[in-house]
Amino acid sequence: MKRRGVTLKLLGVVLSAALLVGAMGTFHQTSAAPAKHVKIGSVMPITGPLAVLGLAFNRGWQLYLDKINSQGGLKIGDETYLFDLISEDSKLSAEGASTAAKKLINQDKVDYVVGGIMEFELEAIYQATSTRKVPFIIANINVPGHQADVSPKKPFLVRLFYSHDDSHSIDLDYLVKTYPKAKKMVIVAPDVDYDRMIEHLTAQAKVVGIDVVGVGKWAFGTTDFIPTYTKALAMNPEVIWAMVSGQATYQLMAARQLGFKGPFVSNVPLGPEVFQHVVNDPTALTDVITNGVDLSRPNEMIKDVMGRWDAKFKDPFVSDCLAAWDQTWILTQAMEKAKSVAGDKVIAALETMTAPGSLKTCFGPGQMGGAKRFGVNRVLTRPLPLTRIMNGKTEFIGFMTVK
Amino acid sequence: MNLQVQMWLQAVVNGVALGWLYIVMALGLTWILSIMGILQLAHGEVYMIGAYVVYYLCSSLGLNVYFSILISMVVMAAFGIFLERFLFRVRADRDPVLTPIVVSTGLSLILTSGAVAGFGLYEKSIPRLLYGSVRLFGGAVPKDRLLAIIFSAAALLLLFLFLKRSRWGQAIMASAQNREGALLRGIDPNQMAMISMAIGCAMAALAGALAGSILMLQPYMGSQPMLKGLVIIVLGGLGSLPGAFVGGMLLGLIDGTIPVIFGPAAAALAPLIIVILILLIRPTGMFGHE
Repeated sequence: MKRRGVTLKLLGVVLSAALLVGAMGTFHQTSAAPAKHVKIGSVMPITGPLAVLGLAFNRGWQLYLDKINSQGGLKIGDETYLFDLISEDSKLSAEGASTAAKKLINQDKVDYVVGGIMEFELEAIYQATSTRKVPFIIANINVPGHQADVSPKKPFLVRLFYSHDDSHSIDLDYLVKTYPKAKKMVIVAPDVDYDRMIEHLTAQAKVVGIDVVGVGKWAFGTTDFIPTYTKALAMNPEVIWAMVSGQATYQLMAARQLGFKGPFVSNVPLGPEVFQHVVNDPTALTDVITNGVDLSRPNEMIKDVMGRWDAKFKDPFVSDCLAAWDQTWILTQAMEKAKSVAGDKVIAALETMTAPGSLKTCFGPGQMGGAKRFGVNRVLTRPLPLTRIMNGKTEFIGFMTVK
Repeated sequence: MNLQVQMWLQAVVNGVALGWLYIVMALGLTWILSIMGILQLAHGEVYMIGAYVVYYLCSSLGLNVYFSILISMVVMAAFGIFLERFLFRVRADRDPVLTPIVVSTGLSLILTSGAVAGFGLYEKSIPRLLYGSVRLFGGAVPKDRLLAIIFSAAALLLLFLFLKRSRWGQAIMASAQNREGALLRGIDPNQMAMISMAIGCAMAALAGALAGSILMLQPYMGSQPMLKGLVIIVLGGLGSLPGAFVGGMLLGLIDGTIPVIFGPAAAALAPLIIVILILLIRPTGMFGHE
């Protein structure tokens, strides 16, 4: 009886202590401010022929945001911010992009929208975001200076993707140094508003002593490049420049099959591993110059991204996700600089980050710029990878600074 | 030889190669239409899966590409038998026109989504049939395109011989011309439909494998050829095999030569303009009947 009484008393003490500890924990929780959430909406084609790109970008954003969330979030002052990514499918159409953007803004109440691969998507998304003053981050643009691009008239638009023609000077310098006898060039480009870039490249090539003897154009959606290259090679080029095309691999195959043996330049960030995988012919994979990252020799940051991808996804790594990773990374760097997550303050902060090295990216130090060309400093400039493929093997030249 | 002339001749050779690919694709489609009376809207996806079968046989089992193409044709023929038996067989409780259209549309979506899920979106390629090129009329012609012409012509010849010289072929033709009459002669229309579907799918697999090697391999590769196939059977005449041949060759020559001579904008418009003109003159197609 006496023992039972002692046991009961002991139980009572233990229960009370447990209740007290629990109450203290709750008190601590309620007294510490919960993390706030920043919602980022993405609009990319995740179905259809460009889905591989759309998915790669979505994954790149997600991987970076997972990283920052796993580290406890972004601390700005006394506040901590966690990030949520909400992805929608643009279906590679203006209507799809518009519907997706409107859903993200009106229903999901996102703080930022990021995305777009084609210019018609960018225009449709910006139409939706600008009406609600939600900042829109352009993920990709094929034609810098297009009406969908940044301008002083578009205060809520920023492009955290480099201009493709940034690669011109890098690739031309390498061509002149490595292939000094190649003096006649044919540019092969999709028939979609590339005229300004073609003019720009032609002028730059002339300065370094290369004559553009012709331009071959192909319709968007082309799968057979033999007709285009039949025409292009009739102009007797010594070098071919396949301008900004995700189908550069098929273009290379067509050029080599038709007997072209000279240097082939692809100034799109298609990784050399994609060339090796798709072309699969060492004799064709010779004298190929690309602005894709050599994934067999990644730097530490790229290795980290690749490791995170492998841990989360079973598909092979797609190097386009590095650009997307950088976009969310740069966004958080701008938030830290602005000491705020508010869109207008973050964009203003980005516009001040123009000194070389203001921004960290997977490719090296970068900065914002574009005031001279676009009227606003809202375009990313960062080093570009340069890789040559010889006899099926990659030679990584390095991350080259844009002039 | 003058560079311009060389260029045009190269373009014509390429057009002929493309034409043969289109013929094999369209022949399967029009064959199924003429024998079974159904428009198989998932034919482009059968073409795509045939190509992926070749890819996996080559990359996973290390088989020779030619042998893989043969196996793919057999596999897709078996798939065709399955489709006919369980999805497209004529039944009293099924609308003969609407049901196949609805079923094949659904099948197309399932096969495409399945391909994306199963094969992934990452770029793949089928080993080339042959590497390098030959000099023809002063210009370089890819060897694999010449080989594609030979394979396609051989397939067409075999099909022709099968139809004309074999009992099964004769039975299929009889069934296509008069289903009730053939039934009275003891020819099982369901069996004929099954064989026809198998042949149609095998042709699609051959076209897909050749295209996957020459052009590109990805889950959405079937939609454009399907559209071309539909244009060809309308152009050639619904259910007409000679029409599919002529229509396919015409479209192939247009696709091979117009971009070279007139540029990309004309290449997109020319096939449509020519189809409209032909249909204005002959609304039933070049070899079609009322």
